[in-house]
Amino acid sequence: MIRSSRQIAAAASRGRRAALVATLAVSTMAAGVARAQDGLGIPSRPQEAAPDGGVEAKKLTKLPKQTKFVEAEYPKEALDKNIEADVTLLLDINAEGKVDSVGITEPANPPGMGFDEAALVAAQQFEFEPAEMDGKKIAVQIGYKYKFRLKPKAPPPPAPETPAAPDAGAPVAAEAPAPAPPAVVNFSGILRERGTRLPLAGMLVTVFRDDGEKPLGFEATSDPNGAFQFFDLTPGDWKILIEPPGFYPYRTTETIKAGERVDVVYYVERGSYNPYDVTVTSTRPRKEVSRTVISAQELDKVPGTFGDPLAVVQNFAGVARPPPLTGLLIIRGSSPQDSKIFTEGAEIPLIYHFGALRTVLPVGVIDSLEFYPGNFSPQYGRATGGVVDIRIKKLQPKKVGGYVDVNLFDSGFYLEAPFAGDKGGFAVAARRSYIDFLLNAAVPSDAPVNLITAPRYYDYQVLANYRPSPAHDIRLFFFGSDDRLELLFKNPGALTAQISNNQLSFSTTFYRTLITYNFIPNDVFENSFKIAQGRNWVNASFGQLQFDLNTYTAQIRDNVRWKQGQHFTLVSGVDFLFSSTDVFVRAPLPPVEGEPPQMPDLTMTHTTNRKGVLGLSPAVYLEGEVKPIEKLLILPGLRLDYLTLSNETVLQPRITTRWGVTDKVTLKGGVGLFSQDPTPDQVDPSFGNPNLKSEKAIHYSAGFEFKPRPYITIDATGFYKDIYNLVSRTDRTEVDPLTGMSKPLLYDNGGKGRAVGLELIVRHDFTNNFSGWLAYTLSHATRRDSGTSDWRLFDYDQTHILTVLGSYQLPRNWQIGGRFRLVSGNPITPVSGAVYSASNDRYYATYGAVNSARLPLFHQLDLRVDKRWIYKSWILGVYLDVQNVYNRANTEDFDYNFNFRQSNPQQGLPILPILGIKGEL
Amino acid sequence: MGFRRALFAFLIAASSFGAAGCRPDFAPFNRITALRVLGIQAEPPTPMIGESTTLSALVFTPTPDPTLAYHWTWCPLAAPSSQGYQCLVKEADLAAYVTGAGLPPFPAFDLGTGATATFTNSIDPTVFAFVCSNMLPNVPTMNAIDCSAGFSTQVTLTVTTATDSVTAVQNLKLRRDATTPANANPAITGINAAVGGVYVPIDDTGALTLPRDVETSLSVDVDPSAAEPYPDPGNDGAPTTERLFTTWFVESGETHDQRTSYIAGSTSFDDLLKNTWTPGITKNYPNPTARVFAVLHDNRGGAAWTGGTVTLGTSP
Repeated sequence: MIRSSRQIAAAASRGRRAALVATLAVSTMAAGVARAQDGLGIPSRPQEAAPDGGVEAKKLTKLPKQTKFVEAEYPKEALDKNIEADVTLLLDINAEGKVDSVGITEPANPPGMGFDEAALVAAQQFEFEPAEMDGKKIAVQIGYKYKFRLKPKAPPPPAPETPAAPDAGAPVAAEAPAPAPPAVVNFSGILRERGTRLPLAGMLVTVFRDDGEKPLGFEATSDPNGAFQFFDLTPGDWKILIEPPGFYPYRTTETIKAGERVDVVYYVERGSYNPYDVTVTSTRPRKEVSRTVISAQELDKVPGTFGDPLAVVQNFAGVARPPPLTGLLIIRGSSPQDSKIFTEGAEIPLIYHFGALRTVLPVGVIDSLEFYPGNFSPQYGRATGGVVDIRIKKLQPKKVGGYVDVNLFDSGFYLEAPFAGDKGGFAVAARRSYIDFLLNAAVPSDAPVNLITAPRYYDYQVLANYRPSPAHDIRLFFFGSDDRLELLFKNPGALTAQISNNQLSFSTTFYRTLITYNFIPNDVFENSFKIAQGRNWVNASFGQLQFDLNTYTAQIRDNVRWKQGQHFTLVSGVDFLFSSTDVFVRAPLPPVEGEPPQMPDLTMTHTTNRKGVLGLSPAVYLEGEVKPIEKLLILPGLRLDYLTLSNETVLQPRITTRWGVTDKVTLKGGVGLFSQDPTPDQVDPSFGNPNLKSEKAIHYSAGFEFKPRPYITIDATGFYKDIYNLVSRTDRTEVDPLTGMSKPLLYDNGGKGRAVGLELIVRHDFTNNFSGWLAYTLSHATRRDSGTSDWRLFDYDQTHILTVLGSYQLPRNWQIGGRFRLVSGNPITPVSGAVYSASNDRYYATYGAVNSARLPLFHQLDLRVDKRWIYKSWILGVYLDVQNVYNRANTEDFDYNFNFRQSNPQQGLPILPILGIKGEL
Repeated sequence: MGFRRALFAFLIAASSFGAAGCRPDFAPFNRITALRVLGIQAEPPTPMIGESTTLSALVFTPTPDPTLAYHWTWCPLAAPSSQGYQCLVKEADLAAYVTGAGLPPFPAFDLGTGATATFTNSIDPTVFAFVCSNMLPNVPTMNAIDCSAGFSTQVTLTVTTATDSVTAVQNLKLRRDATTPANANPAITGINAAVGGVYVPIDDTGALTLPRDVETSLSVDVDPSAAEPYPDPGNDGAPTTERLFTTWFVESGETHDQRTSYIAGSTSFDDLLKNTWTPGITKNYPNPTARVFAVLHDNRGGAAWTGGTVTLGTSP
């Protein structure tokens, strides 16, 4: 709204109490930002809170915008004593924009002056344009800081001129008054947010001067484009004051000259550049027993992870610490291959560069990451462990923007731009490592290797989003990566006497296209259709070993959600996975879980050479959301999979329940059957047993969630997992009935597994500049191999897993964070002796009982410091992430001498500082 | 993706071989300081049915040890290294099977306690055919039996002294007939050290003196014909040249390479023959003499060795 200078002066003359102003510390009007509390930063949501009705945090497509502000009555006693105070509120804003309820999260200090009551009364009357998610108005809950501040009185308005009395005797002519000259804008401008260049709407701009006989001041409010205007300002110097809630005050002086117009652009700096901290109370109920959602902004700042999204998953409860530089995902006692990583429900072929270095998707294209440690919905299948689903950014840029990121491993950029007005957006991103440049420069000429291609990786992403109307959302995501390494050993015999040449090469390449079409015409019906296709190539060779894989994959998913009244919603869907593979492998048998590490015998290789191996795994699922009473949610579900490798159709019933016993306490539980195919090598005729059946697991879990405060959540979940039909190595043979020949039966389904445990999470949402969580897992995971009667420890059984993690927001855009981990050591199989193979000229260890010993306790502290400098049109961010701050020498394994008679602990990574620089437009 | 476990294992294998050489805390593999078996030879290395082969070993003891004892055995079906090369069949069970089938007995597993042993390939041709056709039921094995290069058996040697014991295994391929290509042990006739730019033979007398803590060139005498051509069964019988490896064992100090190799198309024959040695200083090795050995292997189970003794100069 723009008011003329005369109007402002007139309003001031009506005696408003401009001397006392209750200012909002919150701006809910700044475009693209919802800030509920001044100085609040990124909310950390390691575990979803689930109060009554279900709560989940998602990124909003439109933030709530205040349309009616009610000024609170300044308490008289405080006014008389010149006391100022802040009151922090929690507002429940319904889908109509009205305030349903107001709570106090931080009362005023000093108490008892009446600030709390005044703020409550005023806030109850606030009105907002409601928040939206994908075009639908939704209820939100926001924090809101009400600041009571004493201000000097505004300059009084000029007194209206009194016409002079006419001279006595002079004739008084009856004249019509002359028309007033039109108001002329002589000072205008645009307000933009410093760093992001986003227009700032609804901000109050005050111009005043106090150098004349009388002080004089005028106000204007910026429009949705951030524009403001002032009319007929008298020539001279005018002081400008912009003091919006949530921003640093902006003060300057402008000189107005007669007959000239001054146009300006002001870049106003936000008090804190951490984005949204709005908690969404969604109409969609929380369904899962255990689900963790973490946003991209949070992913980027977790200490000790170098901003790698999947490394953050290790900090969640239920996730074991993997061996260093492996990137394995070990969830609730399941082997790494039993868990799946998806991108928007589509399987990703290769998630890490070089198997463990960096995730192929940078944080810039990610919206959030969802983690299900178990009892996941029938929408996910072909896994008996856990699920990670990476959600890609919903692209709705309001301007051209992006970033450049430079760190120890790689450099990359991200660029996005709007198109079709506000209906869509387009983004490109790419990243490349430069370890190869460093190695090429650092490796001396007399090194034992020739680097033909030093190790290098790159990845790329293209993202496009188009929403022709709120009901239709079309998204395209194209991504891929390439890793490459090739070297020659000058003396291959130094490695092993078994090698047949001196080459080592490794390359992986893949691309994927993912198209998503969401149709949401109303609150009752929702359809999401996805199609993904792409190809992967993997080529590796080491001496006589070879691995060549060329796979084409296509996946179609369709999910329908149909609300049938208040008490029942039906979700149904299909999930088709197709593949065609050419494979050539000459290698020893891969190691299996429970097998002690052994130098492979390069002369004992198996070979498979197959072309056009087809795979088709269709699945259908149904899930009901039954809400018989308000706070009770029951989700029965069924998934039917045809698993192509085991040629088996498996019906998997699942059920979860959530009961909001009170507003603060929710009980939850679930049980379900999960199945997956054996791995392709396990059913290959040369490497395995083509007659294997699918592996299965029954998940049981139960627990509760408790929110003693709005920003604190305590989540405790007990779990038990029964794994059967586990593929297990055997040394038996079987006789082919047709030929009478006996052949090794390398695997059968005679293995079993168990995992039992308790997960405890205590989470502190972003409040008082702090966020963080504590995750503790107590667990016990065992296996029983085929043909044995004794249970043994699982390779990655970690009895205690403790992670304590937190970040604190300091003034001037500093942030510090830390992570401490305390984890039981992995089981190991002790060496009992060694045998010298004269043929191979090498010793081979002999072992004691499998996993009968354990590595020492692991503990490590990581710290991270972030600083952002906010310039007019860009932001520079620098971070220092230091892993293993006190240089703890954690034992990750043991090194042995040539005949295994001596050993030394193999230490993990030492103190490792990583510096990163990021420039954002 | 398919075969992810296999790829992961592949990468681990490649990296473990690379890391194996990077253990600076331990004495190198080729520095001999205690009881060791440095090589086992079967002459001939691939005896045909009816042929005998003489088994011998290069055994190192720091000092002459009168308690040194040998024990030779063989096994027709052995487990791989991951299971400690244990014998998968019991001799009594095997004897009962062949007796029940009316076949001649297998050679006894125990081959004696001498410094050398003799093994006679007396396996009945019918049994041979059964075994090589994988028609022998209920035999535990991790790999289908492939006799294209000979029936792969295992010889085990256990050497003991009063204070130590070492077990070594050697693959022994038995040929059914002359259609299976034979192998010959490679010949290595001497080891030399460079003195004043000239290679001088190292004999057993210790007459040659080498300086301590100075890198000295070594060479071995091997004729290029030692790398025999043969049809590679892993490559559909395509003609291939044997790969040769020389392991250099020293009592003191370090060599530049623990093992040198000749791989046709990757390394030169000269690479196989040359190395350097830096004998240790007196503080680390006070003995005035040091033995050196060179053990030559081919990739088909053939082996041979040579060695000598040098006198070490005073420590710098």
